[in-house]
Amino acid sequence: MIRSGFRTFRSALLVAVTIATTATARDDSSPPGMVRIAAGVYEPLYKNEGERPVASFFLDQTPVTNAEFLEFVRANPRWRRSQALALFTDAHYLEQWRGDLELGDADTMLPDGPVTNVSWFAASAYARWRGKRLPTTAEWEMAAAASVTSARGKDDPEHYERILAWYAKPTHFPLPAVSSAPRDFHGVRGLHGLVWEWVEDFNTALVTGESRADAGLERNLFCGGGAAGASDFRDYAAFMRYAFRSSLDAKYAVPNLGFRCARSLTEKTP
Amino acid sequence: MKKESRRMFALLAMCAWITCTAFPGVAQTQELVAPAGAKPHATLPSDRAPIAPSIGAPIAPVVAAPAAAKPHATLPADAPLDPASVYQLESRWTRADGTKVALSSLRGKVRVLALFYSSCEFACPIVVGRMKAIQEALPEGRADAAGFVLVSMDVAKDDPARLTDYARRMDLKGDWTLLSGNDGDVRELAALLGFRYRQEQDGGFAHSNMITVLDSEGRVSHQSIGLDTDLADAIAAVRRLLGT
Repeated sequence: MIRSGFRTFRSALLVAVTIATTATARDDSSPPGMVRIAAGVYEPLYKNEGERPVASFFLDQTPVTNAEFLEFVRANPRWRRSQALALFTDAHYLEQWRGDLELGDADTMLPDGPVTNVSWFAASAYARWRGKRLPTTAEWEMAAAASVTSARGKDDPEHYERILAWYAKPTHFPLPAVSSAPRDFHGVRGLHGLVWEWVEDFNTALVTGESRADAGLERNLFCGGGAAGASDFRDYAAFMRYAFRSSLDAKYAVPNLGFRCARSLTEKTP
Repeated sequence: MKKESRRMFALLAMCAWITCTAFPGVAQTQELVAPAGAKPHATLPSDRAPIAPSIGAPIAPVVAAPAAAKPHATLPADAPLDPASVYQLESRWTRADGTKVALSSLRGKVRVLALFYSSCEFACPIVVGRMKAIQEALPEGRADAAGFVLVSMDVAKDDPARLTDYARRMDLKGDWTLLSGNDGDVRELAALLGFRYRQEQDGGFAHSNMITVLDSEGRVSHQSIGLDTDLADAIAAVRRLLGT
């Protein structure tokens, strides 16, 4: 009896371990600080965009921190606060720092907290400097679809509730250390619950009004039952991300908008 | 406003904006010219929200330091670029004749620029038609005083051969430059101009309809958004830059 119980437990454990090792796609070949996200399918918010396959890629486990960004501006004077072109940043660029090469006070920011107030141009430049790039919307959303227990968070009823609870809460400064965010199924931290994050193609979101009249997009966005055509009505958080991205301008620096980097499997390690 | 409340403000702004988008289709013209010496960001609210209303509300300027309104002499090609010049981008592009160029090769002339793709059958021909209308409004005898630039967003298909064919098909005469580039560089240029686009499943694109007037240093002087807005402002912007 005990023995068979143990055997059941052991096979259950074996199954669990097998799932964990195959499905999380954690990989010895992952560059330091990155996790390999298995290939999958991105289900866009709007069905008319169509599901699209996403190749396997590497994603930073955590958002880029203030300390990491400081290394970047040390090495790249043109991205220091006083020298960055107004073309590529706005007046709030790195405003939480005390100076060009001086981080801010502990009540404003933490060195190992996520860097924010960085424009898309600055975030892209950082990623290039690291031999990486920003994740695409499809990659980010596919990775962020994971909950703590599943690659498909929508199978976890509490997943959306946790995310929405964060969205409903005002941001408190200083933002917590990136390592304090819980690890999700992939071993990635802070895709939800820390800061909003730039994506490479943020400017694909929401083409309305000025767009081709025959694109039919505005009919499917926001007006009337705004969710018409939406693939998952429960995923209100995805609507918010979509709306947020569509409102961004590439040079905006926003106090709760940071970023993390990605890398294609085919890209060479620098 | 405290930082903590900025976020709540952002959410409220987003709600307001979502409401606005229920009434889309408002074509707008964006005038970016400000008095010389205007402070950068002068037109942004002092405590800006992360959410920029994009429809049915005034649009914040794309360029922080707007170009001076007065026409200015062409600088030598090796003079440092103006910090607000779009030509600060270091990307390399391929012209329809196959030659590789930097955007700074467009320097020295007033340029009227739009993003497009050659297989677009609806909006792009209209945008090109509007650019032609601006060209026709140039002062007599100065048809080449301004250059016209089309940058393709269809990086997979629009090669020099297709761009050459497009120029012939659209009967583009005078100083037209058609450019193709790689995906990241097109996205970067689009980001700088505030142009949004997305490839659809059928291979076509949903995209902004935008014509940008650049001064001879590559600073954004005016943007005309929409397909049916009055071109008078765009024409006036070009003529002002030409000093006519």
